[in-house]
Amino acid sequence: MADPALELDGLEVRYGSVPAVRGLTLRLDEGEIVGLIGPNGAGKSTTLHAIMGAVPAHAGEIRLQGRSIRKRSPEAIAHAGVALVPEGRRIFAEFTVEENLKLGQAAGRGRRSGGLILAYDLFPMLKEYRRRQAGFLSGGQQQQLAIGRALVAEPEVLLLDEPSLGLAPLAVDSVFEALRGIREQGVTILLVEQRALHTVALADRTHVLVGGELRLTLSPADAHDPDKIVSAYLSS
Amino acid sequence: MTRRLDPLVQLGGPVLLVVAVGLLSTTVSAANEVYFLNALVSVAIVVAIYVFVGNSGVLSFGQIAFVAVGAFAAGVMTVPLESKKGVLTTLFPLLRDHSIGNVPSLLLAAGLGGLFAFVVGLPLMRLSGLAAGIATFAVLEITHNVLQQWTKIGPGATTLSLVPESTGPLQGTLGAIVVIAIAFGYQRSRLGRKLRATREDPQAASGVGIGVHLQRLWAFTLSGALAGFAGALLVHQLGSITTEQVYLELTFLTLAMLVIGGLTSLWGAVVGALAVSGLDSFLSQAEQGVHVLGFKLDLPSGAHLAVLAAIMALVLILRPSGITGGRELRLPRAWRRS
Amino acid sequence: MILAALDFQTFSDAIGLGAIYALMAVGIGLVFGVLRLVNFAYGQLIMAGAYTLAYTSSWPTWASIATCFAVVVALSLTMDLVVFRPLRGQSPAVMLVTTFAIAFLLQSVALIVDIRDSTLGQVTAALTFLNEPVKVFGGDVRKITLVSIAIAVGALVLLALLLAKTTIGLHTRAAAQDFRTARLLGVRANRVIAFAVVLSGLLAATVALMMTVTLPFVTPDFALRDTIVVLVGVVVGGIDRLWTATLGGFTIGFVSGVLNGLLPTDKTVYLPSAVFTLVIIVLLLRPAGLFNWGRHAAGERV
Repeated sequence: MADPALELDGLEVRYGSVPAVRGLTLRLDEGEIVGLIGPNGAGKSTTLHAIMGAVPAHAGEIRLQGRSIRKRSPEAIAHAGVALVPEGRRIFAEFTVEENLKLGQAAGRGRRSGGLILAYDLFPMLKEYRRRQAGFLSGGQQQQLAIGRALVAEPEVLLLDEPSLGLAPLAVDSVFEALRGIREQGVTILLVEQRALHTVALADRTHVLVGGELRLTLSPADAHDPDKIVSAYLSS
Repeated sequence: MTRRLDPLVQLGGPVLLVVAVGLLSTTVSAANEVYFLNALVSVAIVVAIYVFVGNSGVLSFGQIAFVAVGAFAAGVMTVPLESKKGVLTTLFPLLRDHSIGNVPSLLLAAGLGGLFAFVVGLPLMRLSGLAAGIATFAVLEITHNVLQQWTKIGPGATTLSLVPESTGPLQGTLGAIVVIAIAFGYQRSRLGRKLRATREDPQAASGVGIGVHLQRLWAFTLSGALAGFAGALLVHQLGSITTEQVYLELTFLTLAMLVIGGLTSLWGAVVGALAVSGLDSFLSQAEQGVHVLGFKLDLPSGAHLAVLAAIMALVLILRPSGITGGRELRLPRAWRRS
Repeated sequence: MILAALDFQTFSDAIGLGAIYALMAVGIGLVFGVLRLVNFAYGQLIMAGAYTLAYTSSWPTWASIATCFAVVVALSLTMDLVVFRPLRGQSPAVMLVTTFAIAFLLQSVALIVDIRDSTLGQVTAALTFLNEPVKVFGGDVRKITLVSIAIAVGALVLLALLLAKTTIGLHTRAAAQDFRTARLLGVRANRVIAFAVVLSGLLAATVALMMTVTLPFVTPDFALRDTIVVLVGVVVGGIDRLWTATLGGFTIGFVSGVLNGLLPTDKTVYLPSAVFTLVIIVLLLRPAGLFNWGRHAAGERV
């Protein structure tokens, strides 16, 4: 069997002496969308940051296609093929849309050169506004920019940290549509989200993280059973 | 039981160190006594600076301006009358025709230092970070410039001499202890703790009703008074003073002493002052040839500054939180079981 | 009316000084942008360049200049490796005191070397012709002033192009804006920092060249006072953006030059007080910088 695209093995992350993530084991095969939901402070963001090397892992292993990436710097991990769409977008407001996208190519340099068209095809609006200052875009448009920026690096694995945060319902729908489109291109996706139902319906599997630990795994069928999800959140 | 000993240790440690230095100074030759007195006066200056910088977390380059004001005030007012009228002819009559004693001069220096700090602090305490650093640096520059040029309040660019050398081992030790005790009292008081809260998280602090501007102003004023006092100690130790002696080099040196000792604790301020002062003295000696562990160390003149700077940079690179790690003195673990 | 009292010579000299300070401001601002570090020892880089020029004054001019650039850039990179790297992430106070210690160290070393070798202190005679005046608009302007302005403008334009049009420039701007996110996108931290450090070294060498023509005798505290003045200007202008820092550097140079020329000689002794009082007033009114509109001050918390 091929190596999983991304694998977490007993991952433990601490802030000082406080554990944020405990013994998390997760496996993403190529082309899957896996969701990670849970209450605030459950450690979802921390998991993504640990994968990107922005936060050190206290124990456990992180493997990208079988190779350990645990002790590498964020930029090395980005170059290895992992892209993060950070919480709150974190776009560069004073740069143009085009410059923001070019920045996303930093990780892809030397590997592929598909160009900005990868973002423009998925989000035509970005092409239209490419010379605009990114700070003038709406929330939904900025989210598209953030995702487009991650895509131009042609990652193997795409991590998203609460992409629907602060977006109007229409914008949320378009984000989830875009994720379907991305999955079709063969990119593996780990999606951290607050919107439990949307995520469960979209992802191949959705894990519920509470207090840094995995509680439950849900399938798309469970999207029709909100009680199950709620009880998972509330269990301790 | 050990909890109640904590404050005793925190205060006693620095005081005992200072007393030790003071006692040692009486046992060495007159030529070497200078180094010990330097160390004691340095402690006073650095602790004065710490009172503001350490507790508020705001970097100020201006505290030496208050040392300067204290030094010149105490100096000018204690020069014996006959000499003053002959040498410092351009002074305001009030200054020229009166002289005061040793202790009054210390109090005068503290008062003027505090007043100056208060006036300067009123507008400046609104600033933080780099802006505060630059603004306080500007205060230092202005003070230096005015002291150097205004011959009605002092000797101007020439050396002020004939100041009574009343800072011997006793005054040096007592002076340092007074500054330490007041600094300690302040940091344990409600005022001090309020200020420390603003250091950690200014927004949270003001959220619970702590007036950041006001607390900083308190500390700045107290720091200014203590610095002025230390300036008087300084001028009475040297017997003379020039504006260059209370300017950039001293600013850098004392700030470095504080940071190397550990910016956020009283223990750090005292340890840093003594350590760097001791090192500086040792290196000055080495320039005249000194014996270390059987080897003769002979530095070229001027090298002592270079070595001092190099060692300081090294300490900061290797241990950025300073020698004490920014913490107060505590009883060793083994003794803490009650 | 004030401008009428200003003679052309003073005015042009002030612009020349402003140009030099502007370049220094860029050098300091570049390193601050990516490292959040104020390099007090920047003036010592300039001093090293000046000393190199003095030591090689008997060489052909181009070789002397090339060596100067090489030495300064090498020293900058060494500073980054030995001092900046270990200090990354430390509090501003620690960084400040450490770079100040380095400045002191380099100055003391120069003092020792200076005492030893009496031949030090002369600079290439080939360039002193630049001190001669030339007629512009009916007033006397020293050639070096025109050259300073030309070089400064040229360097700034080059830099602006570099930052705006090249990939490394884009990465550097991003790193100055939000280093964390930039790294997550794959921007290589070390490369960007090296870029900024090298650029700042090149600027320092340029300033050394410009200054040694006007002050042919090189002394160890060369450029230390200027660094402090430029730093003040940079913070007053607004340190967190490159162009505001540059403007700040230029302004304080220009204002110093003008005030120096305007004040009657017996009053110039209080020039520092005048300038610094102005600095305090500006900082109180605009803590984020004179040219920064609607932004917050940089670098809180010690």
